[in-house]
Amino acid sequence: MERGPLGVGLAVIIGVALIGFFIGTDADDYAPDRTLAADAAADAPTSAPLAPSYAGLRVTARGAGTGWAADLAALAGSGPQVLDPVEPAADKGAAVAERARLRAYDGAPPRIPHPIRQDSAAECLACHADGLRFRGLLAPAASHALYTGCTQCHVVTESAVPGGDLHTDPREVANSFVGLASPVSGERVWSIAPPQIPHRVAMRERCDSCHGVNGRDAIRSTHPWRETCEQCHAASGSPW
Amino acid sequence: MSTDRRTFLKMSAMGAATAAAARISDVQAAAPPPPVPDLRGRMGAGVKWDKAPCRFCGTGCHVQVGTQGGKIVAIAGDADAEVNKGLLCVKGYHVGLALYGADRLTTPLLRKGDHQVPISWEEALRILADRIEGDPKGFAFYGSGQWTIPEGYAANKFMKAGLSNNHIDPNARLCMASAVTGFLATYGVDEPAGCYDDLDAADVVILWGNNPAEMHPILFSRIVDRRNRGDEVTLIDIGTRRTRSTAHAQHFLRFNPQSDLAIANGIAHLLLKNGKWNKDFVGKYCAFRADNEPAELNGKAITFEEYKAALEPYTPDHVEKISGVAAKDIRMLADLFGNPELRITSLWCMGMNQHTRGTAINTLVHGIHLLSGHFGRPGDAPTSLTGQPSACGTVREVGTLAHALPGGGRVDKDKPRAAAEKLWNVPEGRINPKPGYHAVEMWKRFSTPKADGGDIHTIWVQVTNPAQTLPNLNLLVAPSRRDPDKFLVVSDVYPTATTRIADLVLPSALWVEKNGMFGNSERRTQQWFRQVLPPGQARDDCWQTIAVAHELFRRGLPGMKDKDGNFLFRTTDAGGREVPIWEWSHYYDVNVDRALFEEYRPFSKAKHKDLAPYDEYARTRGLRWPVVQQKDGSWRETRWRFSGFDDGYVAAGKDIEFYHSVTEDGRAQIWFRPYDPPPEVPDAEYPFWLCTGRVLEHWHSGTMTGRIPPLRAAMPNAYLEMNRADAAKLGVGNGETVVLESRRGRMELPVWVDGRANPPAGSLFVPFFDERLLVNLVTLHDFDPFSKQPDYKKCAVRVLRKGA
Repeated sequence: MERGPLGVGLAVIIGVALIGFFIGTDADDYAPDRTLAADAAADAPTSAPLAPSYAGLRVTARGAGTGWAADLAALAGSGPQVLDPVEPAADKGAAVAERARLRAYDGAPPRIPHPIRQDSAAECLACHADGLRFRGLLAPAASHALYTGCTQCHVVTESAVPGGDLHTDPREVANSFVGLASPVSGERVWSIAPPQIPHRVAMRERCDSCHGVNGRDAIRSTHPWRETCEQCHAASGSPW
Repeated sequence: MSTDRRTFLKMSAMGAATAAAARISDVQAAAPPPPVPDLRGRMGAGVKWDKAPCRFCGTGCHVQVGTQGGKIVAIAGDADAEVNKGLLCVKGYHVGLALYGADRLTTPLLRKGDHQVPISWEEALRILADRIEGDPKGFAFYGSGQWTIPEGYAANKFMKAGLSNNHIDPNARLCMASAVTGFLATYGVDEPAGCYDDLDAADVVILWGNNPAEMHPILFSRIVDRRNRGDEVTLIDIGTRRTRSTAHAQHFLRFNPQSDLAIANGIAHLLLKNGKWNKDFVGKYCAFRADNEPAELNGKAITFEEYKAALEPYTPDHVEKISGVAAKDIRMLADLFGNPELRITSLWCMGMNQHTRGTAINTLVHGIHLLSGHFGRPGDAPTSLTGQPSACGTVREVGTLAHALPGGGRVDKDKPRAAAEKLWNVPEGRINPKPGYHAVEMWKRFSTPKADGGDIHTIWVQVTNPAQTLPNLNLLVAPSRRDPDKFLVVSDVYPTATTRIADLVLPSALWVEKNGMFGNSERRTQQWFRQVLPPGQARDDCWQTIAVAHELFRRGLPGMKDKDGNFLFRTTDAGGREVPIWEWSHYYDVNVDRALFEEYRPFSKAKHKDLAPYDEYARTRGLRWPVVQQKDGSWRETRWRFSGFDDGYVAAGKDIEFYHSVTEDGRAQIWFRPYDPPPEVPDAEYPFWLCTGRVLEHWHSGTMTGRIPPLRAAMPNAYLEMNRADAAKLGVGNGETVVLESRRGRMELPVWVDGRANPPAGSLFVPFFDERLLVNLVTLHDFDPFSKQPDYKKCAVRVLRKGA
C-alpha cells in the first residue's frame, strides 16, 4: 500500500496529538486513579489544561508524559491485553450509568468530554480509532465505521466559545425529555446461555468499542479474543 | 427467568414496598408515594418506532422516532431513507428533545398593557376574526418554509381565494428567493434539475459561498465519506472565510464579497477563449440572454457574439483584480469545466442567495454548467440547497408567496388565476390579479403609520421568528410596536423575540405532535403521522387557519364560501358527511392533511411537478417529483429532470429538453451579467466586512435548538469571529466583549479568535441564532431587485473596544 505524504502527515498529526495529550495531562490536579477522561475535564479549573509556554519547555520537565516515547504501539501495549483474564462485572449498573451520562438517550451519539480542535478528524482518530488506555484515562474506540467528520454528530460538553455570563441562558435550564435508558444486561434463555444483544446495533457495529480490551471494565467481554460476536449473541434490540 | 426480568421484578417489588410504606405514612404525613421508575420499558421493550423527516434543515433526512407512554424517548437515523442512509447530524439526533423545553406555549395569550394574559381559544379566534373582518385588505399573513405543505396550502387558499388578498409571504423570501428567480430566468421553471444522487457521482464538487459541513452535514459527509471508500473527489471551496468545509477541500479560493459574479464570468470567458465550451450542447439546448432596461426577470435575448463580447473584459488577470482569487485558480476552474470527462456538481445556499445580486449570480452559475455541458448527467448539476425543511415543498411548490399560486402559477397571469379559481370552486374574479407585498415591503408597511401609507394593520405570523430574522430590525419591526393601530399575531411553540412583542400569541403543535408533509431540496415530498399529543392547549397551525376561516364564514364573510355556498375548507368523511374540522375536538376525525393534499395535487400538474397520492408518501421515505403513474399502476419518481434517460416528460428520443423554456423552444438561457460593486463597502469610518450565518449546533433563530441542552451547551452564545491580525491591531483580546456597529444599529458581543472558523483580515462573522445578541440590528435591508431577498452576507461595520 502506498504510504505517501498522507501517511507521513497522519504520523505527524498523531505524534503532535500524543505530545499534546501528555503535556495536557500535566495539570496540577492530575489524578492517576481516574477512570474516565470526563472526570479530568470536568474537574479541571478551565476547560483546557494549560500547556507550558515554549520558553517554559526549555526549563521544565514534561510532567506525567515524561519518559513515554511518542509511540502509539508502546502506549497501546501498556493497557490490558487481549488474553488477560477478565473478571465478570461487579457493578455493571454503575458503569452503564456512567456511560449514559454523555448520551441524551440510549443510541444517541456521545458528547465529547474534553476540548477539541475544530477542523481535524485525524486528531480524534489518534486515540479513538482503536481505543486507548493511559494511566486510568480511557478513550473508547469509535463503535461505528470511521466517518470523515466527527463533529457532525459529536459535540463538546463544554463549549470553547467565549461569553462568560452569556453561557447561561434561561432556555437551557429545563427540558423534560427523558431518554430511553441503556440496557444493563441482555436476556439469557437459560442460566448460562450467551446473553442476547439488548440494544440496537446500528452505529454500534464494532462490539469491541465497548466490550473489547479498551472497553469500560464492567461491560468488557470475558473472551475478547473471539472475533465473531454474533455467532453466539443474537440481536434482540429494536429494529432501529 | 432472565436477569432482566428478575431485575425488573425486584424493582417492582421494591416499588410496591415503598408504595405500601408510603400509604402507611400517608396517614401521618399525607406524602405522595415516590414514583416507581419502569426501567424495563424504558430499555427498549414497548418503544414504538415511526418515520418522520427531521424538523430542521432542507436536507430532508428521515429519522425514526421512538415513542413510549405518549412521549418521545429516542431518535434513530432511518436506514431505509435514501437521503441519509441511517446517519444523522447532531441536531437530528437530538430533534426529539425540541418538544420538551419547559417553557412551551400552552395557552393563547393576549397583550393587556405590559402583560400577556391567558385567554380562551374562542376569544383568540374572535379577536383575530375581528381584526380581519374590519379591514380584510390590510391583513397580511407572514409564513414560513417550515410550514407543512397542507398548512401552507390552507393559508394560501384562505388568503387568495378567501380574502382576495395576496399579502401572504414567507420567511423563505429571506432564504431562497434568489434561487427561485435564478431557476425561472434560466429554465423557465423553479427547482433543481439534479438531485442528491449527483453527490455520489461527481468527480468535482464546488462550494459557492457554502459551508455544508455545518449547514447540511449529511450531504457533506455523503461527499467526503466517499474518499474512505476509495473514490477521488475534488472539493473546491470558493468562500470568503475558512470553515469546517474548507478543512476537507483541496482548494480554497478566497474571494472578496460580491465578486463571485466576476469569478463565474472569468470561467465563461476562458471556456470561450480556449474553445472548451460544449458547442453541441449549447447549439441544441441553449440560448443567450442579458438584462434589459428597465430590468425584468426574463431580460432580452442576445446573440452568441454579443455574449462573447460582453465577457471579453473578464480575463483571468482582471478577475483576479476584482475577486482576489489568483488568475491561475480561475484557469484551474475553467480547465475543470472545460474537461467533458469530469462530472461537476455546484452547491450553494445562502452565500449566493442572500445577495443584492442574487438572481444574477444564480443565473451565472447555471450558465457555466450549461455552457460547458456539465448538466443533465449523474454528477453534473448546478444544485441549490435550501435552509428550511419545506422551503421547496411549501413555499416554492404551494406558492405561499405574494405573487404566486399553487403549482407555480402567478396571480398576475390570467390563465393560472382562472385555473386556480376553477380548482378552488370559487367565482371568477375572486383572486386578486395584483401581487401582494413581499416580506420586506410587508413589514415596512406594518412599521409605517397608516397616515403615511402604512396600509398593513395586522400581520399573522406562523412558524417563524421575524423579530430576530428580518434584516434591519430597527426599521422593519420596532416602529410597529409603538403604533396602537398595528396588531401582531404570532403562532409559535416557545416564547421568541417575536412572541414577546406580539399582541396575540397562539400556542402551536410542533413536528410529530401533528400530521405533516415537507418537501426538501431535491424535490422530495415527505409525509409523517402524528405520534404524540401537543401539550396543553397547543394546536396545529393548519387548524388555527381553518378555525379563523370558519369564524369568518359563520359571520357571513362572502369570501369564505365557494361557488356552491359551502365553507372553503369543507371536508367530508368516508360517507360524504361534512366533518366540523374547525372544532378542535373533531380535527383528527379525518386526516385533514390527506384531504388538503389531494385537493392540492391537481395544481402540481401545471408545471410538470406531478405529485403522487398521499398514501404513496405514507408508504415511502419520500418521492421526488415529477412522480408519474406507470402503466402497471405504480408511481415512478424522477431523479434527473429534463434528461431524456430519466424524465418521462422529455420528448421521446431527446437527450435533453427544457420543456418550460421561457423562449418556448426547449432551450435554457445562458445569461451574461456584469459584476457590480455591492451597495455598501467598508470605508474609513466602517472598515470591516460583516457576514452573518449559522453554526452546526443551532438551527436558524435557535427557538428549538436553544432549548436542547446538549446543543446549547456545545454552542451557548453568539460571538464575533475575527482574524488574529485584526484583533492585535485593535488591541482586542480573545473573549473580550466589544461593540459592533453599522450605520443602522449596534450590539455588544464577545470576540472569538481562531474559533470555529477563520475570516481573513478585514472581515468578520456573527452567527444569528442568539436572540440575546441580535445581529440583525446591524445588517443591511438592501435586496435583490428581482427576488426581493435581502443581503445578510455583507455590510460595512466597525468594532469598538467597550468604553473606548
